[in-house]
Amino acid sequence: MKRPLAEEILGEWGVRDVTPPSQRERERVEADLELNPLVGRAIKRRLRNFKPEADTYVASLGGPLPYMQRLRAIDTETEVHLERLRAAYAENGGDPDRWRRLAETWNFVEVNDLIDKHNRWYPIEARLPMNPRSRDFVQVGGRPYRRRPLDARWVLEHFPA
Amino acid sequence: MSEHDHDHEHHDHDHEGHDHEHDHEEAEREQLRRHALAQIRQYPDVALRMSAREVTEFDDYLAQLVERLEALMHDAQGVGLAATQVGVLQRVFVIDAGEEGFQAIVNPRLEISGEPETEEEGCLSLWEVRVPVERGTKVTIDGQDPTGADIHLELEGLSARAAQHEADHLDGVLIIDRTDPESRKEALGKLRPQPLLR
Repeated sequence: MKRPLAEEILGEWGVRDVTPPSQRERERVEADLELNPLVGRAIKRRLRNFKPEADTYVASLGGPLPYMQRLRAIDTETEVHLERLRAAYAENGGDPDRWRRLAETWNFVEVNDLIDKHNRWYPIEARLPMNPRSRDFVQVGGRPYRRRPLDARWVLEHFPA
Repeated sequence: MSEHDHDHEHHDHDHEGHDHEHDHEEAEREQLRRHALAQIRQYPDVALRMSAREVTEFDDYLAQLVERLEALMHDAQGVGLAATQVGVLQRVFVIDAGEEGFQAIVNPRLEISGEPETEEEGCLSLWEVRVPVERGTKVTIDGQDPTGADIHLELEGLSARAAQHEADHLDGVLIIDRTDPESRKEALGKLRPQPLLR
């Protein structure tokens, strides 16, 4: 099939001057070629039915936003604790009383401080949408945005005595 | 090149240097403004239509919230900000009350007086919109400060207008609800998402 014919069939074609109105339209388009600044430039065809958001603008300028960095830090810290707990469990898991005592005295201050900050400021910083019925924030990935602070119970859930 | 020309050129360099500095400061301010606006909820966020609850606990969290509201208000170059504008449904707002300085008002009760006056108003949650709004020129505010102590303020002019604007936010009322029908229609036209060909 010849390319012009294919273009015509697929509709990738200009105005066809087969009727008087379409002839007038072609004349108007040709007159516009002299004034239109887009002449000779490819026009992107992606339709965006939304406005550019300020947070995406900021993210594009400076990388991850503070709440994103904090969430990453919480995940990393939690992983580190899990690793250390795994090693400690291998050593002390055989003695339930000793393991419970160790779980209760495990130091989660730093990660819990991050979790507290996340629970307080994440909805503001991320402009988390609200549900007008519940008057609370929507769930993130099917779960509430709030993170549970790490404590002895959390340790014993992962590594039972 | 004559001495005069040289001086002149030197002066031009200085002038250009100042211009660059000014441009840099301007760009920094603009970046801060956008950073702040990224945390302020924009129309049609449903939080802007929800009424806030009375504050009952005057704790560390409230103090931090007020600090954050103040910083956001300054960075966004506004004269007032309500907690509902950041998605916190508590009856708190901050205003830059001119001679009275920065004020954080918790559980405010407003008594509006003075001749009603119509002025153009904008809102940090309605970026491009400015509409005429009729407000009383004086306002008396009773409420509490972030520590829970009672406060009493008497404001006039722009500060009075800002306080009424922020108090409206706490009840889910926006300037587009207080303007005339024609301005409202025009504002809603600006706020409607536009298809953009990119």
